[in-house]
This record gives sequence, C-alpha cells and structure tokens, in this order.
Amino acid sequence: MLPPMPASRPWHNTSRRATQRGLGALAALAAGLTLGGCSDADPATISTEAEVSFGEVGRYPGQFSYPRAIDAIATPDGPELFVCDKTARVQRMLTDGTPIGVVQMPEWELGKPTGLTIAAHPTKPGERALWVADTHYHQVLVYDLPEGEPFGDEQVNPEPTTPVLAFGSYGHEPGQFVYPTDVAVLTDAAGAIERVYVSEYGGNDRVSVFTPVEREGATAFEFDFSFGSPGTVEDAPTPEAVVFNRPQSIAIDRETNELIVADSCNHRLGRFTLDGELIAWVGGLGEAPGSFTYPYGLALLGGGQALVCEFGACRVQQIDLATGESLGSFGGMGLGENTLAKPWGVALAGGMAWVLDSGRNRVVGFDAPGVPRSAGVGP
Amino acid sequence: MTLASITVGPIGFERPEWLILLPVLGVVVFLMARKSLSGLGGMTKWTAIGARLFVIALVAGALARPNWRTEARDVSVIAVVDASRSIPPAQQEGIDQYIERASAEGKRPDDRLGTVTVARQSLVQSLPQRNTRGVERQFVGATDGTDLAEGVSLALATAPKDTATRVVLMTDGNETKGSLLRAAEAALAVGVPIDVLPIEYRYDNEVIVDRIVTPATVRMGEAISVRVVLNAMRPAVGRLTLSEGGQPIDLDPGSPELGMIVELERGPNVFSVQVTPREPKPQAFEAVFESIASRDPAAAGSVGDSITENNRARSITFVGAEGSVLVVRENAQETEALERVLAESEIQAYTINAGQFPNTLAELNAYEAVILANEPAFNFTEAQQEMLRQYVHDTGGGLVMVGGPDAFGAGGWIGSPLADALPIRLDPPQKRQMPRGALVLVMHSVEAPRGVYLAKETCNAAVDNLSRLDLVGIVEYQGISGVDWVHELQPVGDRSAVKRAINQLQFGDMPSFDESFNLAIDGLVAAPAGQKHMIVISDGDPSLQRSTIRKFVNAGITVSAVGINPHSPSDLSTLRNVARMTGGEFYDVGRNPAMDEVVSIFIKEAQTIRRSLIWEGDPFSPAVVNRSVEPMRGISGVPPIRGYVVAAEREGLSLVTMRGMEDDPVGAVWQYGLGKVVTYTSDAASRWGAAWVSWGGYKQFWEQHVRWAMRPGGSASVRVTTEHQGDETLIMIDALDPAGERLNFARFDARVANPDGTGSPVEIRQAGPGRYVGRIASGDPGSYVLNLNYRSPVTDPETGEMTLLEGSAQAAVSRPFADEFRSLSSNRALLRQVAELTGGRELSGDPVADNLWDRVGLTMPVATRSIWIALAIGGIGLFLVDVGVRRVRIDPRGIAAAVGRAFGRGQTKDTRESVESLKRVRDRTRARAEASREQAGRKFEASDDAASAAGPVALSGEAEQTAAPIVKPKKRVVDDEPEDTLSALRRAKRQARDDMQE
Repeated sequence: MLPPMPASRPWHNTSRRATQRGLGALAALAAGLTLGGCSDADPATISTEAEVSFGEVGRYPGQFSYPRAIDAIATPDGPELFVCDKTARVQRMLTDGTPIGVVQMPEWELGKPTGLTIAAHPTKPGERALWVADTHYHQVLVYDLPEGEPFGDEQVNPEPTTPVLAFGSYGHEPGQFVYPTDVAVLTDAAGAIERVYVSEYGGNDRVSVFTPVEREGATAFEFDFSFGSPGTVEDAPTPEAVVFNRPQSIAIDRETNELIVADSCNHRLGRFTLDGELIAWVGGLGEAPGSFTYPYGLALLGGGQALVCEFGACRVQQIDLATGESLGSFGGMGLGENTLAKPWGVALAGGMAWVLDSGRNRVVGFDAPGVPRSAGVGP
Repeated sequence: MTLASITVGPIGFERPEWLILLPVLGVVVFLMARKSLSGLGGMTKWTAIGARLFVIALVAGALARPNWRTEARDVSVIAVVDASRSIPPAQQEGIDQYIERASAEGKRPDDRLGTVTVARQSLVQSLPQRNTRGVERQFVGATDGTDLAEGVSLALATAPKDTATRVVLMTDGNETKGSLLRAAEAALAVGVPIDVLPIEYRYDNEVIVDRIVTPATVRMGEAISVRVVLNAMRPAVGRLTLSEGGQPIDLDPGSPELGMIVELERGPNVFSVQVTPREPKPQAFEAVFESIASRDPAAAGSVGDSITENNRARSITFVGAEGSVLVVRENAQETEALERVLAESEIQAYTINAGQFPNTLAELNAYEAVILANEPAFNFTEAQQEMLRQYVHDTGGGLVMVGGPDAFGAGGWIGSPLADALPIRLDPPQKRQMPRGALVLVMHSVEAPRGVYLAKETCNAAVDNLSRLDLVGIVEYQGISGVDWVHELQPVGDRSAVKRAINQLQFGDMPSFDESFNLAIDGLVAAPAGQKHMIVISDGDPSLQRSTIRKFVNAGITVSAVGINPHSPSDLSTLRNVARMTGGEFYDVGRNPAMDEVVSIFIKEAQTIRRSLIWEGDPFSPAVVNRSVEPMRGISGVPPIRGYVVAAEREGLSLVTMRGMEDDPVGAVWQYGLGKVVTYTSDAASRWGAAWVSWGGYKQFWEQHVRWAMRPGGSASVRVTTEHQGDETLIMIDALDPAGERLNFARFDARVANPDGTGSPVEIRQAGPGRYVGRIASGDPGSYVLNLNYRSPVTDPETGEMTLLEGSAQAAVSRPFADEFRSLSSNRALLRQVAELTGGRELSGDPVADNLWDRVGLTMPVATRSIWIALAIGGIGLFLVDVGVRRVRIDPRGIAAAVGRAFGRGQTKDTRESVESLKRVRDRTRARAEASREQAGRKFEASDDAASAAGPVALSGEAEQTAAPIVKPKKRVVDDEPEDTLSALRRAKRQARDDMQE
C-alpha cells in the first residue's frame, strides 16, 4: 500500500523563486477575482504549469549530466526521486534537488543505464529496491535504496556500489539481453515478487518475463517466457502482430492487470495482458493529441490513465488507455519554465508528476491528478 | 541638461531633473486647491489635495525614468587553474584539493563555483554553478604552453550577470603566450578582482639540453663539429647520446655503449663531437641527456632531473648534393616511362609511394622537385599537403603534378591546401555542361573524445572536396527540433552556406535512422544529378527499417557508413547491412579514431560522385598554345591523348601550354611563391597517353618540364650558419663566387617556412665582404626551413665580362622544446602585480583563512527594471480617484454591508439597521425620481432644465425639506457665477452627507 500522503507540501521549493512569483500570483488572483471567482484547476487533468524545477549540468552531487531515467517514491517526509544520468550513477534526491544517496554502476565505459524502477526488494520482504536496466552491459542490477551520506571524497566518481543481485547476459537467446531498457515488477497481494518484466532493443526488441526461484539458498531469476519481436509498424505483417521497435518503458497496471509498453520508435503504446497477449495498440506517429513522437517514458495514473513522456514531441500527455484519448498535456518543445527539451522519463509521487527535462539537465515537477500507482511508487 | 542618476532606496531615477516638477507643481496645486476646494469638507479637501499631490509625484516620478533596483546577494568564484606542464604533478593535485576545501568553506547555498583550466589553450571545465565543488579536469588540451591571459578572459566571459564575481588565479605565473596584465586590465574594467594563489616551486635538480650547434650547410664528405650545450642547476651525472638522422653515433668507441657518461658542473657545460655526415640530404642531429644520479651530497640518491621534455635538442644540417627529384606514385607502371627519361637526362630520381612521403619539411627539402603521378589527395595527410604547398611557396621547391583517373579534381584535390599552388583551378569551369554529383551526409551523435570537432572537420573535408557544381546536403537530428536538413541539398557554390551549416551541427542522438534516411532519399531522388551518394556517420544504435533501405536500392543510390565508437560491436550490423545492400562501403573506425583516418574516409567517399570530372573519348592531340615558355621550347605539337581530368583555367600569372576539349587546360605552368609548378592533366603512362610513350619528343618534353620546375642549384659556394638569440635566430651567410672570391652585392630573396605552416619573407643585408646577415623570429618550437635565392653580378676573370650568378641555398633551424619547459621557478612578482591592479588578494594557500566567498571588495551587480509605466498608470488611476473623491460619496458601511450580503454573512444588528435606512432612503429617492424622471437623470449635471428641478439631490438619507436647486442654468454658470455651480454641488453633497448621518 501507499504510505499516507502529507496534508501539505512542505517540500516544495519555496525559496527565491516563490517570492519572485509572489507579485505574479497576486496579479493572477486579482484577475481571477475579476473574472468571477477562483478558477480551480480541473482536478482530472495534469497541470500545464511547472510547480518546481531543479538541476544543473555537471558531475558533482546534485548535478546532472544528461539524465535519462527517473522514478519516484512517496515517503512520509515527501517524495524522493531517483535519477540516472550519463555519469552512470543513480542519485536519490529530495524534490529541491538535494542528493541524499547515490548508486554507482560497476562499469560504464560502453554506455550508461537508461531505465530504472523502484519496486519490491527481491530478498528483503516489505522493503523496496532499486532495479536498474544496465542497458549497455546487457543485465538487470538490483540495489538496496542508497542511504546516508554517500558522497565522500570521491565526489565526482564514487566507488561502484555492489548490487544485491544481477541477472542477464549478452545474446539473442531466451533470457538473454541486447540492450535492456526498463524493468517492471509484478507483486502479489502480500508484496512478494511474482514476475519481473524486462524490455529491450537492439535487434532483440521484446519483453522477457522472469520468475524468482531459490537456487542454492539465494534468490535468482529464471526465464519464463517472452513476447514481441523486432519490427516496425510499416513492415509488420498484420496490425495485430506484436512487433516492437525500441520498447523504452514498461509499466504494470494492477487495477486492470495489464502491462503497458511504450513502443518508442513505432510511436505507440501497447496494452498487453500480464501473459503477453496484445489487447490493443494505442496511438501512432504524430504531434496531434493522442498521437506520439518517440514516447520514451511512461507512468500510470490509475483509472486506466497513463502519463506518456514523448522524447520527440517534448511533452507529457495524459492518455486514457482504453480510448486512446489525450486528456491533457504538459510541456512542448522549448527552453521556457513550462516547456521541455527532449525529455526521457516521467515518474509520479506526492500528487505530482516529475519529468526529466534531459536536454536541460533538470527535473520538472507539475501537478498530476489521481493517486500514483505502480510505475510511480512501486508496490 | 541631464543630471546624474539618483537612487532613493531601491528606486533609481535616470532623469532626476524631472523631479523638480514635484515641488513646483505641488505648490501651485496646493495654492489652487486651497481656493478651488474650499467648498469641500475638511477631511475631503485634504484627501483631495493629498491625492493631487500624489498624482503629481507619480507623474514627475514616471518622467524621471524610475528603475526598481535589485541587488544581487550571491557570489561566483571562478577558479582559473594552471594545468600546464611547468607545474609539478604533486602541486596540481594540491590545487585541486585546495579548491575543493576552500569552495566548501563559507559558501552560501546559492553561491556558484566555476572552473577554467589553462595550458596552451584555456577550457571551461564547469560553468559557475551551485553544486560544483571542485575542479574536474576533463580535457585540458596540450600542456606544453601557458596562456594565462586567455584563461582570465574566459573566466570573465563565463561570469554570471546576476552575481558578483571573483576570479581566483592559481598558477606559477609563467606564461608562454598572451599578456596576463592586459587581461587583468580587462578584469579591472568590469570590476572583477583577481585573487592570486602563487604556486611556488623551484626545479633545483634540473638539467636542460640548452642547444645543439651544427653548421646549417656542409659539403658531402666534410667533417663537422657538433657542439652540445647542457645547463645544469647543480652538479649532475648522466648519459649523453647523439644521433644523426635517427641513427645513434658512437660517442665512446672504447665502451660497448653508444652514448657517453658525462659529469656536469653547475652552469653551462659544452661537449663537442666530430662527425662526418653519411648521406647527401638534410641530416637531423639530436642530443639526448638521461640523468643517472646526482653526485651532490645534498641531493644524494635522487635522480637529478624532473622535466624530461627539456632533455633533448635537435638541429638540422644540409649536406650538399646534386639536385634530385622525388617521384611519388602508387603503381610502378604509372611512371615507368617517365623514370626512364629522367635517368637518361641524368636527373637523380627517388621513387616512393605516398605512404613513404616525408613528414617534415626539412626532409622534403632535400629534393629540388616533387613529381606526383596520378596520386589522390587522400593518400596524403592534411599536414603533408600543407607541407608540400609550403615546400613550393616558401622553400622554392618544384612541383610536377601528372594526371590520371585519381588525380586533380577526380582525386580529391579540390579544396586541399595544395590546390592553391596549382596553375589550374580544379573546379570545372562554370560554363562547362557536365554531369554533377549529389552527396548527402547524415550525421548522428559521435560519442568519441572530441567527437564533435572530429565530425565537423570530417564534414568540412568532404565538402571541400566537392566541385562547386555538385550538390550537397546535410541531415541530422537536431536535438530539440528533431530530424531536418541542416543544409538543404543544393549546389556547393562558394561553400559559405554549407560551412555555416556544418558549424551549427549538434550531432543529436537519434533513436531511429528512418526519418533522416527518408529525408535524404527524397532529396536525392529529386536532385538533378548524375551520381548520387550518401554517407552516414553513427555509433550504430538507431533502428532502421528494411523498407527504407529498399528505397535506396531501388533508386540505385549508394550509402557508405562510418561506424564510430559503438556501444557494442553488434550495433554496427545496421550500418554494415545498409552499406552492403546499397553497394556502398562500410568503415569501422573503432573507439577513438584518428582525425586523419576519418577525414580521409570522407574525402575518399566524396570522390564517389567526383568521377564525372574525367573526360575520356576518341584520341585527339591537345593544341599547343604557348611555345614560348621554357618547358615547351622546341615542342610544336604533341601526340594524341585518350583522356584527361577536366579543370578550369586559373586567372593571373598561370600559363596554359596545351588545351583539350572545350579549351580545357591540359598543360599549365606558373611560379608559385619561390617555386615553380607544372600540371599535366592527362597521364604519363599508356592508359591515356599510349602514343606519348613511343613519341620521339617524350624525353625532351619531360626533361624540360622537370628541369624547369627544379630549384636552381647554383654555382656559388654559400655557407649558412645560425645562432639562437632569445626568440630570434640570427642567420649568417658567407658567400664565395666560383673563383673563390668573396661574393659582394648579391641580392638575396629569402623566405622562411615556419613550423605553423606559414611562410614569411626574411630581410638579408650585407654586413661585410662576402658576409650577409638576417634574422628570423623562432619563438615557437619546431623546424624553421630557410630558403635563400640569390642573384649577383660577377666578372669573369678571364674575359672580363659581367655575368649574372644565380642560385639558391637552404638552411634549417630547430627549436626543440617549448618555453614552458625553460621556466624553473615561479613568477610571483607578476601575480602580485595582477592582484594589486584588480583589487584582488594574494592568497595564502590556507583554504579556511583565504575565504574565497568573502563579500568584501566585490561589486554586487544590480538588476534594474523600469517602472515608469507602473507609476504612470498609478498616476492616472489616482487622478480618477481625485475626481471621484470630489464627485462620488464613498460609504464604507454601505460597502461593508454589500460585501456582507454577497457572502451571506455579517448581518449584524447595526448593519441591518443601516441597510434598512439605506433601503428607505433609496425607496424615497426612487419615488421622487420616478415622479420627475427628467430631473433624476440630471442630478449632478448642470443643465438648462436643472434650474426648474424641484427634486432633492441627496444620494442617500432622508430627503431635505428645503431643497436647494442643485445647479444653475448653464448660461448663468458661464455668464454670471462660475463658482456657484461648484458650490451648489458641494452643498448638495454636504446635504447628502448630513442625511446619511441622520
């Protein structure tokens, strides 16, 4: 279950920016009054205005070097974000950008991870773990959530963190990966892991499913089945053929028991049963509402809705998965406070959506409706 | 007249003279108001006066151009760190630790730290940012120089506008380039103090090979004395080795070792060796000193040397020989016939292929001419091409370029440095109708060290190689705006547009090739061109649909792919496939490719569309059009040729000797700088010139052309010696005529080829009988090659006739190591001067005491925002209030009640009563108004009818019993009693107020 939400949002960045906004807010209030009463934002759709943003380019703690993966969790003290950038580290941060923990990948010469998920811990019941799709090392790494004062003397390149568990190797065989992009963890009512879904690309564009097994007294993940094959919409034999072209994000909707796949280079979402059967494709290439241009990031809002972060169109759309209808959108290409430059991911926590404005090395938070579910907060 | 600006609290006035309106108009208004507002009640009157004065204050304020000033509170510290080799590595680490500790000490959360490293070039390591905690040395460039001035300028350029800035300069103060003091003046001008942290060091254990002295020219077989000068900071022992042309010289025949053990005293030590040069060519002598162990008890056991860069010195001696030429070709058949006739003509020729081509100008200078036979440009590095140009222009060497299908424009020489040296233009003439090529470059992210630079240079090289008629287009993923043409497919023209586009390339990381490939194929299919080609450079991880590849296959367009730094080798399979399927080439250049490698791939690939520059057809004899030039003397006609490379005539001093179809220049000659150049665009082999090889004039033709191009040898004896004097080198020339007499009144035409590829003239003047001197600037490390052409009138001792003696001589000067390695101690005085000049501090090196974030002495920047419009709007608003105060009664209780009603609360007893009373009054008023509708509309107006109005004028309260006429007829107002209208109104208002109070 989700931890209780704090009544107010004490974590919001209330420093100078807030005071600077003061006058504007007064003016807006006055305008609102003249126009006949307060205009409460429609609670069913995402906000079009950023509430908070932080981040700057660099390799020191609190800085980003082209961040490409994000997830968020809610805690009693407010949301916490996990951001992975091209320094091959995952920083655990408060929503004012203060780093409170770091996980450094063991190797990064060949490339850096592009997917991460906070979900159930594979070995410690009731706890959460950081699951990293270590894309260019063809494996999935699982870490304890980093804590404490992690940035010692090695501020720029901390020592590699030892993972709790790792699985995967390079190859095209079942259970092997070329470039894994994201992980989704399916848990039962008690919070125990039932299945782990891993998406990948690079000639193996598919989703592989693993189940936990006890092997020599330790938890391991055994390949169960996979679905999907590399292909493009144009080249697919039938519209119903399950072909993927760089599935960049996946998420599990426990309300409907569906697996949602962001099939990025085919510019669509796929809705699947948890056993990998296609329910429907959603969207297609385009910039119109309801269409996608490189949907890289995905977060489920509940109520059959998803936030889809589009790398190409530089926006986050709120999508009704059943109808494919676009209910709202944040961003648009640009360098303003409320626009984005090549965002890679989106996560939900604390009643807000947190989008990675990768091109500008920052995280932008804006109001999002509903209670964040699986993708945003794990089990 | 303007006054200086005035600041009152947070508000500044740019034109404060307008504020004078405030007292002047204030008094006037006050005086007027006392009279005109006398009818109003006390409170109202003063409110009205106050409002008017305030309006005037606002208007005067608005006219005075007010600004709202926000003073910054944050500080940016920009650390300029000397990363050059002169700072010992241990000290470099110390600097990094100092910055990390000092930047954490006393830093406020919004203060920012930026870092700049300085060496030969200055680089921003991080812009001033809040979370930066130290200097993170990423790429610092070449470290054999220090340009502190550029570092400071760069720091000033990155200083944020919204914080105060302090530059902290951490260096030894030894600069090899630029002027730190001048940069400090710039810092002073913008109010940025420069704090200095002098890095103290002294290389006590140091040996410098100061120089090696050899004569610049020597005859073959003559023994020369090689002197090596070593400078030691304290007594030292080491091994001295000397090599000639890379071959070690045995200095101590008694021992098995080649070098000799030398004991150095403090100060300069000179060693002299007799050497007899072995080969007739420029010989490079190199002396190397290796320290063994110090004999000084103070430094016992330590190796007496810290910097190894200054342990070697080079010099070059030209060993005289008969003039020879260098023939470069890839295929022996290419020059078989040519070599035979050179041998018959007793011209010494050395034949090599391009891979063996010399890499230094001094080596190349051994030859009097270079013949390139059917050589493509990509066989030579950019540096070699530039060197060849310099060889002709500045050292007077000759160049004979012979054609073939891989030569001239078809061989990628268009746009090369050597193209400038040729007497023809490699671009085909504008008027010439010929098929043209179309090339599209698709650029993907190049995640290699300096990848962006590499990729841009590569694009430039490819584009430079196209002819002006060819079409070129560039497609890339421009990050935020997606895939698009950076440069639409269009003729190359003067290259400025495409160069601009290349400069703006971003090399975005595209997820899929399809979009860009589709854009390219659409462009190429529509392009009016014969040969069409595409080059893609990528790390290979974007996806690509087979249907897209099929479009290229169907259109017959080749795609070549360059795979660079893939995430894993299998990534390149997409690129490999697209090249294979479309018939292009695939290149895997690996993780960290050399610039030259990638550039030559692109040049070679660009050739794919360049084949159109070759003319081949029925044999015809080129027309000999210029028989008077020396190489063509006695040649009135030439045999037929079957092909040649199309080029254009060059305006200016070039002479076309033979013409082909449509008057294309087949043979041309000219003088370029000091040297001479011959081009022949057909070949010297039987491919195109089968009839030539058997032609009787073949030997005469080539001998005359080659001899004409060769640098003149000369019969005088000219000996050149050089001597370093600081940043200059003194050139001394001793000249004797063939009879052995001193050669006087000779005119020297001298040029020096500098190590940076430039050439400059050298002034040579006579300093004594047969002795001439000149100076060259030789501050940069590297080789300087000097060419001296001389002309002198001499009298034949036998006949007594005056003849002209002509010839040339060469010399080379070598500066082995940069000044960076000459500094053996820090320059604290300069740093102190910089700190004093800019108001900075000399830091102690204690991270806590130095307090980098100290606000003292910093100028906090002020952001100003113009607010005149706000004041003006306020003034207008208040003016309305001023009017309102006098015309409209404001009933606070009534408003409170209305607000209360609106929100459904606040219905206290008092307000209820008040509301009741208001309602009563309203009802009565309404009743009266209805009774006399006409009047109701004119309550507050002065109208003709108003005089007869019987109605009351109350706004509220009970109706007065003795209602006074509210206004008088207008006529009367105007004619008789102007004030009465006003007084009547005031009375009416007072009445109304009284009613209210009741």
